[in-house]
Amino acid sequence: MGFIAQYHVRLLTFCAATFWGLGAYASGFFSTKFGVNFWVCLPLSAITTSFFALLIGLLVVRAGWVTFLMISVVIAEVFVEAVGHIGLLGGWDGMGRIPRPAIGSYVFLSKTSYYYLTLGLATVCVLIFMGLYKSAIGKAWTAIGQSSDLAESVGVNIFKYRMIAYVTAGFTSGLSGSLYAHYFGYIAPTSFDIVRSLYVSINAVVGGLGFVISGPIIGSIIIRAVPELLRITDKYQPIFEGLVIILCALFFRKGVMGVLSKYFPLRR
Amino acid sequence: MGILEIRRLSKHFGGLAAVDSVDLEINESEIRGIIGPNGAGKTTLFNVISGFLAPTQGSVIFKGREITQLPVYSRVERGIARTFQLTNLFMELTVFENVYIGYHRNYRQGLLSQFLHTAAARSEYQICYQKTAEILRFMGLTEHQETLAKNLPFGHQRILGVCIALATKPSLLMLDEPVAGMNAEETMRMVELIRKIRDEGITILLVEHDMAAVMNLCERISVLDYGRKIAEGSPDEIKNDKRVIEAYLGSEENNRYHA
Repeated sequence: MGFIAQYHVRLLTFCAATFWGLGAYASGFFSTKFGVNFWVCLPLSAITTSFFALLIGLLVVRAGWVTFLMISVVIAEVFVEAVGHIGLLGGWDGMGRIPRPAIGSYVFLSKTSYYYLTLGLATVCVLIFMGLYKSAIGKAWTAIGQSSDLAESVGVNIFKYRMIAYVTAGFTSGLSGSLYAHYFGYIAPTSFDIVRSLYVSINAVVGGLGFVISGPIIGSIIIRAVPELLRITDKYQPIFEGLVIILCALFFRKGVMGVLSKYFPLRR
Repeated sequence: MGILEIRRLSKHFGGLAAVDSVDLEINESEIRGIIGPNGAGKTTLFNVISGFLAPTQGSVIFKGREITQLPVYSRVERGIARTFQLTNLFMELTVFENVYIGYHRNYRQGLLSQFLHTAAARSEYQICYQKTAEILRFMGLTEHQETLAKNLPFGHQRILGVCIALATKPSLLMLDEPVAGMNAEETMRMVELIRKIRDEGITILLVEHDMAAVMNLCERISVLDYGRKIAEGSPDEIKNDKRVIEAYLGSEENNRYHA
């Protein structure tokens, strides 16, 4: 969803996983080096990621959109290289023994319990974005997406609203990165390379770029869950993904949600 | 002193002076036209005044305050609105939503109250809704308010462009070729609407190719040629100005030569 919000304001990026990685590493760093509790780590890593998004955003958001895209590729690569060389963060070997979260004496050990934790946080993210889209900010995002010149001419401060999209995307990426770190207990720089970022954009495209909330959700369900259900092995998964992408490019230009909304007309 | 003053304004693109030290003074509540042959620098001048381009030299003074360095959105806040030469609308939104977004800068409630949908935020939305409906009624687009902008007929699209600009509550409205590509009937309607807007006390500055419309509508006309202002005056004065006739005939000859 962060990706689509950014896409909406014409900030197409290939470093979604970088912010995800930032969140994961922030969480891993605070919890293993300082023994910080998960519930503190979670918002802390979201804030750290937003902070980085703010810094990077101030530098790059003004760039034209092709430049911006290329810079995002550079950022994605630099992040992996940099973390690989920082001994404090475990270098190329990664960072391990990140504890599972707990409430009192209850530890989220089982997959099911973690699932509900993740679901809860995903709901929070959805609510954040729904709230934003309803507000004047969402209106400004839509305006910029449809015609940035015209938006500017009615008094929308384009830079400001692009920054809001960038930082919000950073915030939610930070949240999910932290969850990822505490789930696997181990993170390595290569987990957050540019291929991961491409998957984020694939999810969004398959779901439908015009559907700000439902698009990415449906998209990621199709790309992630369907192969699981069909018990396709990892080896064949790229074939499935390729097929879905080609189908979308050829027939469903507005994504799966575009097709669904045609047959089940809901409110726009 | 006029509402808008431009002093020795120049805009160079590389070695080309698109606008070359132009002085201009627009009085409150007048309808001023800027004309000139193709490539005379009219649109560039427009973009510099509205803030889309930074001038190379000179200054823009609006209501007695220098705005040369201000970004577009703060010029809008001060009351300068513009339309675009090509139809530029939020195509995927309805007519109503298009104008509603124009109200952007009038939202005063903070993010939190919008998030929580407080009473203050709701009443603000209510006011914006009413204002939007008012503009659509004023401009005669009420019956089309649920149509997607991209499905509107061309003439109505141009009118919608003006509606969006009006939503920012401007005191100076800049129209970039408002009747370009319109048929006689549509042109007449637009001319009437522009007069009606002026009668509300809004100053109008327009760039236009359609001579009949300009002569009929504007009280004063400034003529640009090769980036320089070559004449200024009432429509009658302009019609009989030697330099203006030369500039236009010259360019017509050139066109024939190239065709």
